[in-house]
Amino acid sequence: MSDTSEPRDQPRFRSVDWDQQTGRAWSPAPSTWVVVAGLLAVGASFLYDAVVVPANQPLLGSWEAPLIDWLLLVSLVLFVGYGLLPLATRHRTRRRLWSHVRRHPTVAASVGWLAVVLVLGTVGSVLLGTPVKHTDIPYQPPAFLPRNPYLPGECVGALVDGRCHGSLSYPLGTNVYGEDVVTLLVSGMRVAVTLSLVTATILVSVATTVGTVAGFVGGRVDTALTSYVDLQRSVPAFLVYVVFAFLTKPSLLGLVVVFGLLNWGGVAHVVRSEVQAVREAGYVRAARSAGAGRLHVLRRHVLPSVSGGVAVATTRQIATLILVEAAISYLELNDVMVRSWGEIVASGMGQWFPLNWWVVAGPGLALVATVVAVSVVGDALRDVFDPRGVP
Amino acid sequence: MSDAPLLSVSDLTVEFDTPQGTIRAVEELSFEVAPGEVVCLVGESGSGKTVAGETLTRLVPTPPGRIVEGAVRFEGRDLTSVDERDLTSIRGNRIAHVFQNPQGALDPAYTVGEQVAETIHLHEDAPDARERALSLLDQVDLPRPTTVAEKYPHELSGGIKQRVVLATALAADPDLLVADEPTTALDVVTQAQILRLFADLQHERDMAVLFVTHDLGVVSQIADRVVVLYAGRVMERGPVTEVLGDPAHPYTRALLASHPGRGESMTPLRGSFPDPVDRPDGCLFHPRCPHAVEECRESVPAEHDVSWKRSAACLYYGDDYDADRLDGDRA
Amino acid sequence: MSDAPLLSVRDLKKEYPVTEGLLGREVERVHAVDGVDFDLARGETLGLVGESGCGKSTVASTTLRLEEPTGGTIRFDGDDVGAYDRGSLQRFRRRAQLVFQHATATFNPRMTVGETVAEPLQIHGMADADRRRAIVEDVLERVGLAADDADRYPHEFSGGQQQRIALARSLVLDPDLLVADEPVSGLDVSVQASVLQLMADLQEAFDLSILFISHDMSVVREFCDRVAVMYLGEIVERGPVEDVFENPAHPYTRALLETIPEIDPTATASSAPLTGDVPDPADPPSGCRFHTRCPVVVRPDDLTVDVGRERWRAIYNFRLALERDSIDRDAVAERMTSPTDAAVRADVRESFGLPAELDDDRADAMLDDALDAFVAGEEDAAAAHLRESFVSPCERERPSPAAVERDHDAACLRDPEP
Repeated sequence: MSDTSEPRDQPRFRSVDWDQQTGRAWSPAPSTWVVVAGLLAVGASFLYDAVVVPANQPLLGSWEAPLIDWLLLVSLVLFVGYGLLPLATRHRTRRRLWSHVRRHPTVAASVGWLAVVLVLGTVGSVLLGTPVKHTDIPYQPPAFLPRNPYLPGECVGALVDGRCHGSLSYPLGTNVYGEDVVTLLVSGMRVAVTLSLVTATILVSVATTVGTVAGFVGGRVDTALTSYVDLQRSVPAFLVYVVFAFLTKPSLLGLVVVFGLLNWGGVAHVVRSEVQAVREAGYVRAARSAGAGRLHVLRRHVLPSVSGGVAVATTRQIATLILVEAAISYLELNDVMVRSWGEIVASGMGQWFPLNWWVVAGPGLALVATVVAVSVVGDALRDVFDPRGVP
Repeated sequence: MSDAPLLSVSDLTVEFDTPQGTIRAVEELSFEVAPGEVVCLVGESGSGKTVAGETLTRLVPTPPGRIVEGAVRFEGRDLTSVDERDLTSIRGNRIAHVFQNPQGALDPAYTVGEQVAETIHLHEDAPDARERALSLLDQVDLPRPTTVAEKYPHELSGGIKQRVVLATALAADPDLLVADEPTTALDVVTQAQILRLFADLQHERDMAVLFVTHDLGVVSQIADRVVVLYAGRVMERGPVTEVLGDPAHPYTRALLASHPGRGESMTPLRGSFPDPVDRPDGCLFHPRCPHAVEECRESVPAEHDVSWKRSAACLYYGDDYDADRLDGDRA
Repeated sequence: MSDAPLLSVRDLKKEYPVTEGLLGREVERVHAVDGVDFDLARGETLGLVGESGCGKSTVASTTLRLEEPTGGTIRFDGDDVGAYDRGSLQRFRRRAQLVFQHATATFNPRMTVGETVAEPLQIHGMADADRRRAIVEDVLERVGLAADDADRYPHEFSGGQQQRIALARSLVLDPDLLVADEPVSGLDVSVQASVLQLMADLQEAFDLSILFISHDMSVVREFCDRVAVMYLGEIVERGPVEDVFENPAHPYTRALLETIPEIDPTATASSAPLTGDVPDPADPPSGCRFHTRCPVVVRPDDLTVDVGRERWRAIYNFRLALERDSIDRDAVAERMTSPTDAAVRADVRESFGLPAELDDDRADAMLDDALDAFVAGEEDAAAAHLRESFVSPCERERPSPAAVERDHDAACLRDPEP
């Protein structure tokens, strides 16, 4: 049996003095540093706002920093740190996702749209600010398009044939309060992003914890947790929110919290099966026979394999949630100060509809596009992370 | 009783289309099985032996498989071209199959007795199917056939399941039994018992058996003749005593030399199996053969006669070369 | 370097309770390993051989304390493994490595070969990634692969190559002891040979002691220095490989050796292989566990009947079958079209190889009584009739190992034949 290149006389593994080696080979991944730094920054700002800045005074510019916004910041940090950053280091996953995106134009389009929503929803809404009311110029049509003469309000654009035409100062027109539809659209994106990221954070955190404990520990703990999850899954989050909104006041925070805390069951289920499968796997036995403790097995084998299933299950929940929020807005059970797409569409379907179609069309299309895009991306994630797929 | 072979395979070539390319699983395979004879197809991974066994009754899914050329003659008909209906009346009836894993062959939803009886029903009207099923279970040496017949497959051990599968295969009294590694999944002692059973049944019924295996020990126990396959082609064929006792082809020699526990020093075969998508030119074995010469790479060697009824696909047995040179590798 | 064995196991036991119901009520206990002794010297290869279910894999996992033994002592390099604290146990995990049967299952498909082979280094605290990489590349070359194979994924390799990767992983901590559980089963013969050759080379180069577990006697003969044969949780014979294979003392070893088909078709057909299946380890036979299948069960010294050895064994088998409930009248009758008493008797006689009449009158009478009782559906009574003369010491006494020759012993009541 011929060996290859010059073998050293003494193999490298013989040169290790094991009594000198200390126990920890683990340094936190770069993601963790980023996340910790981000969370510290957010936490510090929060404390500053809570302690130093007097109540009812905006923290920065006109931003009053409500609790929901802090949650959004935390979620953003976690999303970037644990969601996006690892893609930079895990080449194989990145390549697989990229090749899938290239081969499926619908997926590419969906990812593109969601990226637009994410960026405009966070950065854009800060730049554009909250929509400004101009009660004197309601119902401006979109640029260069005419509007029905019955609609009230002065005209900013040109008057042609007695009809008011839109102008570039309000490219998508304005609504009943004279608010720019573009700004409204972006504010809707902000709400969608908040809704998705914050709820996802709550869902993923709780579901992963519960699912991992149930799957890893097994036995009575598993039985107890699974029974609870089954019970919880029969509670409809929608109704709970309605009751909650009725008893207190409707709020986005309330919706997010109710959904986040009641809908993690399905995701937990997925996590649990994956954890059980890995726990029995040959490579876990091999690792344990080499001296691995439970923590090593958890970090090295269990959690990485769980992420795919979690991503898929969570995106499904998000798609549903966006639609639910729209329904709640339509039923006037939402906080009217929260300018979500659903709210804009709902309020636009008033007495002048369908004459003021542009108020409904833009946000409505954005709503549909986003829900579809999230579903498409969810399916794509499932196709990529299906273990039976050939890489 | 004529000398005509029961089964005659000629120039069979089977390909598969895969994402990695086209794989030639079996190439120009020819062999015969006489009535009542036991022929072994021997080979390791990638030799094509399993595909060969399955192609006989077209059990290979097409796509992705494809019979490129060749014929499988049985009872005067070419099985590669008969229509599906005729084929199903031959399968299980005149030609029966036994596979490696008894698990897959038995339906977990029915008792074992029901499944044997069903096979009988499939091929004939048999009001006494149940009795015959019990009798079959008895013939395969099951100690308590009545009790076993009432059990479901998951309640039985591997050895017992394989006997049941054998009983099912024998149900219609086939002329030819094609067995693909039927004992590999079993432990040593059970293997020996099942092989014994095979030998006994074969004798009793004067049934021809085509036994596909990688285990030379098995071959030595039950075969009359053996065909050695490598990467889809025949390397050597002949009566089992001769091929195993005095192997001709370098691959056969290397295979025997790498068998452990024979008292002689075990010499591993160097190199690795050819990439199925990218096979070597000329003789498929030449990259690993200690006696390869330039010509081995240029053309695929024909099968040359070594002695009466024995041949090897190696140019050393042709006219231009001297086969004694192959003895140089013997320690 | 002392002469003391590296690994010394005494009276190792492992039982598994079988529970039923919500509250986990114990129904029976499976005695997977029931009193196993063996020693493994430094640099030696000891084979542990037996059919599937005999407990050899359990011996592997309990010796390494991957499962806690129910009883017995395991000494590794002089220390009691059972008394290890966490630190010592971790050191033990470094010095003793396990190689599994199907390498593919032991690789995380998401990890590269390099990451998999380096994992033990990480587990034991080597933080320097470059150093790990250097070690991994070096060891991959030593098992016949290339250094860049570290960046590829396990599924890209063949079965034999994957087993090499598994061996590389087991070497990386510089162990003293390798426990290989069926490492070459499932590989093609030619591939098996090269992996075995590699293991032999590695053993010599790195002074490894190997506990080699296999069901394949030929492989054990080829590779091991000494061998221990296991049956139903016990070691029945032990000794140097050539001694045991040339002069097997225990009937089970003999039977196992006979099942190895010689690749020599001119050899005459071997005698009948063992009949029956391995008994249920939850309910092992009394005395010598092999007595239910042993072709040469010892007859009592005070034999009161005078029948030939084979006949005696046949009647003995019949009695055993009655007592172990593996035969009853109804089962026999159902197979027949006209189950008269006479037909049933004839059938039973035939299945057990009992002639219509025996030479010894007493034996003949006992057998007739037994058959009468059997035909009447009373299996216990039938057995009782035979219990007087057809009992063997093998079922009462559990044999302890008796020396056959130097360093070669067998646990059998028979006098070992030279």
